[in-house]
Amino acid sequence: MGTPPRVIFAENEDSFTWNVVECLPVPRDAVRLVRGRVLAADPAALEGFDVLVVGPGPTDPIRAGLVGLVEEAARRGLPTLGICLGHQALGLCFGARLVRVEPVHGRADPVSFGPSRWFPGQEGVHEAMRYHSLVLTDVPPPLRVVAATVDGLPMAVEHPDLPLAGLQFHPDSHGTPRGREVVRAFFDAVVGRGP
Amino acid sequence: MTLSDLDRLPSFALLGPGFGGDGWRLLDPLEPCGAAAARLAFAPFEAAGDRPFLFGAGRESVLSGAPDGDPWEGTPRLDPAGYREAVEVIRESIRAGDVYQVNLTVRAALPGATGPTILAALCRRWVPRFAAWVRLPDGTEFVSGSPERLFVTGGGRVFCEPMKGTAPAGEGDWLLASAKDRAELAMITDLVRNDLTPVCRPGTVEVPCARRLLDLPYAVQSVSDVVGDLLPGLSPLDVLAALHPGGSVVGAPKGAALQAIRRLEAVPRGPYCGALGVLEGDHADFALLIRTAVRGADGWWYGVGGGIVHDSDPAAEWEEVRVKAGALACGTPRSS
Repeated sequence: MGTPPRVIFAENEDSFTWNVVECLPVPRDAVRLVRGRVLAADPAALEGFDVLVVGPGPTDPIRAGLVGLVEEAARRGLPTLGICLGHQALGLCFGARLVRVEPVHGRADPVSFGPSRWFPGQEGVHEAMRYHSLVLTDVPPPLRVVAATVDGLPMAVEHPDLPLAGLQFHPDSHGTPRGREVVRAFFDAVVGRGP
Repeated sequence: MTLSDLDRLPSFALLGPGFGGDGWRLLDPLEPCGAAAARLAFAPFEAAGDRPFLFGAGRESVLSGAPDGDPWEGTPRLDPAGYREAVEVIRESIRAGDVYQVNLTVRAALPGATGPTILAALCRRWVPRFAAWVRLPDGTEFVSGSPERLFVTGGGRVFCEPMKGTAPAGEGDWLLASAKDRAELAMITDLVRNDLTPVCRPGTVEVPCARRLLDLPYAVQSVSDVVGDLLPGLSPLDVLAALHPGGSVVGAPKGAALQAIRRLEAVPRGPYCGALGVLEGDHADFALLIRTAVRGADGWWYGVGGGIVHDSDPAAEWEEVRVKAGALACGTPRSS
């Protein structure tokens, strides 16, 4: 890839934002950080970017104002990767439910990836750090769950046609050894694929 | 000079050997200092880290030995009002996804205590890693026996050692087996990586060790190592601004945890959970001021607290607070 993809990053007042920035396969100066709520109110700011990353953060996607942002990205066909809160926003955008589960913060669990369009080559079991109290459930088509915990909680979802995908776990954590690889697989799959 | 002699000075900083000197050092915060001299930097918990109080430390003298004197022998006085409710508020916030962990602290009054007697109590059986007694010209005064390093810089590198998890000396295996302590440390390790990243060269922030035991004379703690290469032109004070207040005394995410602390803790922490360090050129060593007593309007108080996560049981957390307060002078309990 010649010039790196230009990334706009919806950050949500999290203490892991910079870890996600560092986890992206682009130089730091190719990433523009914008508060998610601000970006949602001004979707024209998405113009000129190749990838939207909707980062992690507290509260839930509705209170954080992110569902409309992902809808806008989907409408534009803008490649979008949601991490944790951003992943939940993607689910809600396509009609999944978001429910409380036993909170898991700072625990790495095995997560099984199946075949995936936007995370190609990631099939198998990954060790993945989790930080969440809420989880998607009843994920309806066209979204599909492409990774899950042993007890069946969705850990990654994707759209089969639009370049949209989400990761519930933190690929950026020091406790997710292959996290960068997963994120790179997404970027390689969505960037430069043509219209 | 004895501790009682020191108590007559209007302002001073007495720093233990952990702050990089050869033994105990006495610094004068009022004395202007040249560029080459050591400087003292202090940020109370509520202060923005980019505006620490900086003090000259020109007239430096070395004490011949550890401070002596009679230790404080009282019983710390804790007020349980509101604590259980605060833990439940945090647990509900965690269930709702609003916060992942909050470090909740309370004050234990130390009736009849003085600076010298608290320092003697903290040093009765061992000299803590970052022992200090500081009295500043603005009236701020505190005594610390902190075991926790916030960061050290030198040679263009920064090294952090976030600490979560405590067990009595010799019970390291118990600590390593604790899933709750493991998770709390993992979370703070990721938080410190995050906070270091903007002041470090891209791709250089690493975790060479995610969990190791730190043996102290009186306890064993679990810590991780987070390192990075500083961006050119940055000073240790830029690092302080990026890290302060230290993640291990706040919780995660920091913004939401700080809001919860402001809402749930009755009074500002002040020096407790703040940062104290010595700067010498590009070298700096900062302690995080836990196990710290502060002189307030109504006398001395000692801060105690712990990380509240969803697994936390209010009664067990309160018992932990009681034990930690009681251990001011005589030992360190297992963490909850």
